[in-house]
Amino acid sequence: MLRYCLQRLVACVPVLAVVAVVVFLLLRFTPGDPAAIIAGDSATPEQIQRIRAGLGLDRPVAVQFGVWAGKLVRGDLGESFFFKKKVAELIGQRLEPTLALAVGTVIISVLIAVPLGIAAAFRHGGWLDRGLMAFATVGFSIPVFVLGYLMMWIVALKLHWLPVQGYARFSDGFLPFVRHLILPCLTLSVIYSPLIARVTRASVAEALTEDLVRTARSKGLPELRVLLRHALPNAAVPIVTVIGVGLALLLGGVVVTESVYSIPGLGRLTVEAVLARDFPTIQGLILVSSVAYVLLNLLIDLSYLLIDPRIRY
Amino acid sequence: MNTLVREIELPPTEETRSARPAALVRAVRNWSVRIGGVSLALLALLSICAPWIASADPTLLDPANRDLLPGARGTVMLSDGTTVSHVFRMGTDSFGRDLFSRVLHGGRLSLVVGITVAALSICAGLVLGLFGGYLRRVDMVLMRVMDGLMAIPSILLAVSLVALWSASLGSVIAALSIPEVPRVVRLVRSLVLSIREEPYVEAAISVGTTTGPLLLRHVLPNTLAPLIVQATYVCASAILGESILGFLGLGIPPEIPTWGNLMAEGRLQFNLYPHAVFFPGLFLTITVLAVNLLGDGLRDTLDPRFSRRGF
Repeated sequence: MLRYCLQRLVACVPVLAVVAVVVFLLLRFTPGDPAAIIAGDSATPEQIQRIRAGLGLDRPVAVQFGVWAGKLVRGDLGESFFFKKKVAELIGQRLEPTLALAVGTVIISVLIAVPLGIAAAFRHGGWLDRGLMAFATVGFSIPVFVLGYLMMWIVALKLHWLPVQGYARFSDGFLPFVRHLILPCLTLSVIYSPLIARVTRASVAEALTEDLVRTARSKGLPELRVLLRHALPNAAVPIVTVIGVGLALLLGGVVVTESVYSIPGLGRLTVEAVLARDFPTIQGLILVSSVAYVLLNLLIDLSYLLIDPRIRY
Repeated sequence: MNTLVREIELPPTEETRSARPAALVRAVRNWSVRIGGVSLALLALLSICAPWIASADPTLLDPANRDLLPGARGTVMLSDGTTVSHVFRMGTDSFGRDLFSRVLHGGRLSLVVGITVAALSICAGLVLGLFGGYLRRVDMVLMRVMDGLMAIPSILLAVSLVALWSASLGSVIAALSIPEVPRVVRLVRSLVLSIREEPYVEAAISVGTTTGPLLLRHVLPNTLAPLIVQATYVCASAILGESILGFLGLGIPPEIPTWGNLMAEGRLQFNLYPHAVFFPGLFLTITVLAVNLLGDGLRDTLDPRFSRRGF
């Protein structure tokens, strides 16, 4: 068991190494001088020279990568040229809103999508099933920002139920914190939950056709117990998997949602960094989100051991 | 052993013998394909005929017509200098430009970006996937690289690529294509891995077919159906991606009317004139929905075995 966990952890290393190489090359393989790109349009030749020396650009590429990767491993993501701060510190400051948004979205999506998916699987081909699948197709297609503005217009501008934009920190009080998060989280959930609902439906529908469900029913168990005790545990692995796979989708959606609702999180930071061509920050953000994605999927892989006792390593 | 099992599972039925015409007929009979296809054709027609349907110049600034509501009447100047009375069906933006005309012209770019990105990433993914699936030595390295690329959220990758290159139509297309390639490579590779075990591939090898012709003649044609389905999904996500880049102010230069750029301009006065965001948003949603419907329909009819959403 412990050996398996370690093995899986080691298996993440090549993926993360590739991410690091890609992020490194992103700046090196672009047309023009990386030092000039980093310094920006209004930099003096001395500034460019200083950045070049600071980055070690006068040394061979392999050495440059070694130095850069060595710093990364120690948690040093470099320094932002635009914000004049350590990138790691910058990301730490902007982490809370994004985490709150992501966690809120996952909770809402799972609460909506899993029961709906199960219901659709029970009434396979019924109106709920068809309705859900139609909703899923629309949910896949509607752009996050269109939906965001639509909800903002109806709920905040016309009905005045919730604040229009902005973010309240958790330390500012629980109620304002939640009130500011509801709309952005709901917006992202409409995009994220169809994916979970579709897989839940397919997976539960398949589990319901298995012999063990027929046996459970023939024992005279109530339908709810058949579902919770017998069908759902057998359908859980794909559902948990898709929640993890969808996280990549969610991370992308966060960039846009934060922009729509003016939330000062990592998504806003990404846009600000790109507009300012602040490459150390962009590189740091890509690295952090990729590491988060890989580690979350590792956790999900390991959770199979708890969900399905048949899986033994 | 594997081949044996598969032969027992799939005896040559009526359906597999005449697979090609039946699949096409099934596709045309499918309602998702019909609705998606017809809507797309209409949207394409609208954007191709944009200069004739929407007579106002989409880039003409006119301070007298600023911030008009949908359906307002006014006058516009034509390219020959004469002024005519004009109904602004979708209103105007804060520079007095006709939104209807801008939305229709924006459709051209969205469709061009969607189709080009789909074509580019499918071609690149096909070549890499064919070699990866067939040559074991390439496979190992290739798949690790693809795993790494897939760990980077695609919007983040596209955004940073656009930031590196100067924003133009070409760089947006390239930036949207690169994150899609790994998904296509994975699909092609998994298809090739199963196709290479088929008896007809073994037969071709046994009569001395070399790798190149083998891939082209026997493996490639069997990857086409799932790839067509995948192409529609790539197209939908590219249209979305282009508008996201535009919306964030990172895409095609803002003076060119694209749906994302229109919404980026509209959001500044969203409180007062929400129509400037909603009309391009509506067209964008309908377009993506149409492409996705077409894809879902094709998936159900062309190849129900392999095709799944490329997440």
